[in-house]
Amino acid sequence: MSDARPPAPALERQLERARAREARARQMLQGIRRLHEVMTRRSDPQGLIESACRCLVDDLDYAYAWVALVADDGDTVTAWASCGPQEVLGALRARLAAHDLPACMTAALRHKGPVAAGTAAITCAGCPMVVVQPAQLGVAQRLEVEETVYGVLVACLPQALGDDPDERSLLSELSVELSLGLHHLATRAAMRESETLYRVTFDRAALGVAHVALDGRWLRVNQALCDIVGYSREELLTKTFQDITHPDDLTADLEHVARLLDGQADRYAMEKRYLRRDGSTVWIHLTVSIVRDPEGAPLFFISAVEDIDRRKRAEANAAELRERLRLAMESAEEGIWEWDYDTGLVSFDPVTLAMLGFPATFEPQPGEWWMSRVHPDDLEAMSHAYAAYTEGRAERYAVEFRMRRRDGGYTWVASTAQIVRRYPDGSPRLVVGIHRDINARQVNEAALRSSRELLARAEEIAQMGSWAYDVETQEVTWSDGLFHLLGIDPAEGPPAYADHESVFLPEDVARERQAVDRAIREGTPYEITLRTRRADGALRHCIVRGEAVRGPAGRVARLEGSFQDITERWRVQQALREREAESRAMLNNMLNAFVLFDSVYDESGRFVSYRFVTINKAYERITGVLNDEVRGKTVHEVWPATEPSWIEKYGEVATTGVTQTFDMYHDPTKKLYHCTVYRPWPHNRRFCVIFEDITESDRARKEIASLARFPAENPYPVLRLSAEGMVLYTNEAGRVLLEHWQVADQGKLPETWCESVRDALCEGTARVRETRVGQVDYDLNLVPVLPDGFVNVYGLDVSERVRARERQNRLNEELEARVRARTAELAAANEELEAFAYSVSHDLRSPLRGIDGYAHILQQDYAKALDEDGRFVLVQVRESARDMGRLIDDLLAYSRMGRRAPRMTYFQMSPIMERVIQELNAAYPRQRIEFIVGDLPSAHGDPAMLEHVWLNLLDNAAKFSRTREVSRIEIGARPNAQCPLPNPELPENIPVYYVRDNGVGYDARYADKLFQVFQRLHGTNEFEGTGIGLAIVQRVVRRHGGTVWSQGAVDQGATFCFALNIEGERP
Amino acid sequence: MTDRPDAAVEILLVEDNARDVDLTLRAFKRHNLANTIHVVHDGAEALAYLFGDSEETDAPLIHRPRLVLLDLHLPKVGGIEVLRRVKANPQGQLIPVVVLTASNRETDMVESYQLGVNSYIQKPVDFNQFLECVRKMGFYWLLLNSAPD
Repeated sequence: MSDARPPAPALERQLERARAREARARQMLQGIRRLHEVMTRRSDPQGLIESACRCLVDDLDYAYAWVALVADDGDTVTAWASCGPQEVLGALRARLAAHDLPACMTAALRHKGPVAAGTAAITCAGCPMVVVQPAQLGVAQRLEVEETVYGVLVACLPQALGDDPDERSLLSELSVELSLGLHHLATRAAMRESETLYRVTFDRAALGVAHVALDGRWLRVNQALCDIVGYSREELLTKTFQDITHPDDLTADLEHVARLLDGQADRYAMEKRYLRRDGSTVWIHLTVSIVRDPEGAPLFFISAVEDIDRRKRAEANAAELRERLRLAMESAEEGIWEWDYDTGLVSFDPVTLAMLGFPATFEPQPGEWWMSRVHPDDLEAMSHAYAAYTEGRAERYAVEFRMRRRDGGYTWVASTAQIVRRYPDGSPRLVVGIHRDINARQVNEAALRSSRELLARAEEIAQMGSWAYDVETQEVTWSDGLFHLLGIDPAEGPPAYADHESVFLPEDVARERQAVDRAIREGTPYEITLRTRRADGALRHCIVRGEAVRGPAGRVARLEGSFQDITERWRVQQALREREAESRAMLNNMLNAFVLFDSVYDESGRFVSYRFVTINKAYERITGVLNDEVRGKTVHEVWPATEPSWIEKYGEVATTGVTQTFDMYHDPTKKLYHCTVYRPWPHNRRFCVIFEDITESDRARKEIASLARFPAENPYPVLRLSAEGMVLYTNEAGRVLLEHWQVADQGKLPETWCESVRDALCEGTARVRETRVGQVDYDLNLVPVLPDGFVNVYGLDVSERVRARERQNRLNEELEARVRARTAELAAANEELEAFAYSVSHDLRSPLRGIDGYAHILQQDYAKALDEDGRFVLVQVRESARDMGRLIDDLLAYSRMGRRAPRMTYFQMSPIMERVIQELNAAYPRQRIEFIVGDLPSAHGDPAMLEHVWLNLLDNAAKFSRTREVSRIEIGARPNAQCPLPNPELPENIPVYYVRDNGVGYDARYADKLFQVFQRLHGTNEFEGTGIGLAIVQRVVRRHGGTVWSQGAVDQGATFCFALNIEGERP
Repeated sequence: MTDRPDAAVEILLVEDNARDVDLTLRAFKRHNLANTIHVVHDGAEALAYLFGDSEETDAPLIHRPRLVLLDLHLPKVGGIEVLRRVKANPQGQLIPVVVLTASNRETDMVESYQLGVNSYIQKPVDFNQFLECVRKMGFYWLLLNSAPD
């Protein structure tokens, strides 16, 4: 029993709970549906939240619910709704009505993340949470979408439902639903707002605005656009933009559109023309952008259209105006200039530039530059006037002055100016002016004068004047030209008929009167040449014409006529006559014979003979015939024996017109002639011959020619070259050279030879150059022939000499090679020798040690066994061994100095000197030596080697002065000029080291042996020594690039000097 | 004095010239330096005496004299080579080596010092000087100098 019963009530309870939950779930579902319905119905937030609250309380059995919507600041209540018992919500409602949100809610709204629900978080004064118990049944939800907080929802469950997770999620669900509803409403409101704004903008814009489909159809257009194109909205929407675009602009527009569609651009702008409905065109400025969907696919275009027609037309007008102005200016020879004070540059228009001879592209120049082109005489006036105007002292600026043209001449210009723009202080910033070419103006103006003036001008140009004479009234009228021609002021008027003859020369008056009388009497026209005397006294030759004009009665009523000044023509004719006479005289005075022939042809047109036209005096003299005799005769009539060769030659010239020069023998006169035949007139058969008798000079020439054969026979090259290096002549031998240089006859020599030619001519001296052609060497003597400016070249075969020299060179080279080899051998031998010397010296020491060692032992240990003489001999043995040891040591030192390269360094000399002196004092303990050491500068060299030098020099000084009571050894260094023994071969300033002693000196006769190895000037019995010390000194000093020298005399002491690095010290 | 196998050798004299050997021994005797002196006449003998048959650098020495007097110009193996072997050996390094030679060639001197020679003495021709030299040398290296064992 108990087994079956006990679960029953529990199961039932569970079942009951499940049923309750199911019912609640259904309720929830219904509630949410209703809320959803409400939200889709309600289009205002207030209605929405009220419905939501009611739904929670009425449908879902909540104890109460309230919603507060807040402004952006998060705590000002903009709308609220609540549902629930007044006793619970009364206080809250009062607060919300006052737009005041409980503080706990404010905090919840501001706090990011889930809003704390339940007891702790939502408890504050006036909050209904505290009233309802238990508090955990209350839940607050923030109403938010994507971070936009709209408000808060607070709902409290009835106690019966308890704290159920389903309930919580339900509330959460509801709040999300509500939030989305609120968001939707807010977004719609915002959209409506912008939509309205857009539509208003679209429709009322002064700018034409349109949406255009991708294919160009107008989708939406505003009134402004319709106004621009003159179509109604309805009409326009049936068209495409292509339809109303000016054909000339369509291509460019479509290219832009294609770029938009390709995504290459997002917008474009252009100026183009629309075709209006009435057929007229309108200029517009078009801006087009493309609208794309979120995926980037193009949707449509937005076009903004601005009417710029007025501006365009204004521009066109302005351009036209400018062009017209330019034309006007150009035709008026007027140019514009502009002085921009910002840049300081003056720019001239092409007209002004042309006026001054500058190209149109000439860059603007500083104002001062143009001022500098004003004629100096005009500059002052011009600049004064300009300054007066620009400084406000004068009303206007209008001056005339001359400006220098580019070609250096001057042009008169009239200049005006206008200040167009000013700086704030009133000074000019931009001045524009006009330049007018006044020279040109005069011409132009003249062209525009009256016909009378025109006539006068014509007459002036033609040097004519006209006149008329009324026979009855005797009135005389003259044209301006006649006044001008006769030099009479028109104001004076023409002379009376009776006086008119005064204009002619007295000698001509009669002729004139005769002609005039006849004309009046018989009506015959006349034309006579008369001379007139102008008022200024000038004589003029005139052709005077006269013509009778008959009156109605048939009598001569008027004479009309003209004067034509033919003075110039007359002068030319006169000159021609004079020239002719001159030519004649010249021909006659010519030394050469001259003849003018006329060709004679036979029926077939063949040149067969020629006829004399004229000959000159020389012709007469040379040939013996006279001009008067031969004129008009043919050559065969004068000289029947004339050879055919003459006919032939002359015929060639006469028919071809090509001038010929030749020498030919003339049998009739038995003479050789040098002739030049030419045809002076192209279409004339006449021809001239100029010739000279060269019978004598030909003989001379032949002689020259034979002489000229001399170089021809010369076996060596002979050439004559022009100053430019052209070959003028070469003999046969010279051709070898030309072939070698690859120069043709009359060709030009290679450039280096041309140079030599120029040099020879410039300096006027001959020069010799060598050249080798094949196996032959030539000396070429280039001899300038100065007056003629050419160079004769005489070649000489010097092969032998060159061979000899080459042999010599070869020998020298061989010799040098041999010397080099020998030197190398010697160097090797020297090295060997050094090595040999070293090893010999070294090996020699060994037995020496034995000799001395055993002699010593003998001396020490066996002295008693020897007598006096034996002991003496032993001493000699040991001394000999020691001498030899020293000799070997010195030789080794000498050898070492030669082998070793000096280790050059900068070092102090004084410490070395101290060591040397110490050593010497130790070596000569019984000798009184006074060392006087002067300043020793630091030196550049090998310190160890130089120590040897000092040691040897000082050792010598001490040794050779030991016979003195006190040895005085002076050591120092001074500039060469001030040292005890100046060396004239060295620079004055080079430092010289010296050692001077008061010793026995040496015989100067043997001074040359001083520095040689093993050479001693004193016997070993006097002064011991090896004769190597000074050789070492010299070796070391030389290896330092120095030199050592000395002076000494017997018993006068000795001085040794040395200098180092002589080369380095030389300037 | 020589060839006393029972006595510890104190000086090894490497010298080919019999006269020089004699004079050197006399010089030592004169200064009453009664040390045991072993004489060898060339470099090979010297090496054999010190190293035996061993060619190895680190081999322990057969004999460890207190001082080696070494001529440079020796038959067979030169003095420089002997010096090199001695100074390369850890035990040999501790033995003072004095080069006693007729050579005053700088290269010989420099090389000897580079190899770690303790003194370089040029044999003087003058026997008096030689005596003085030997006295000083013996005094310094055998009496004053204390080498590590």
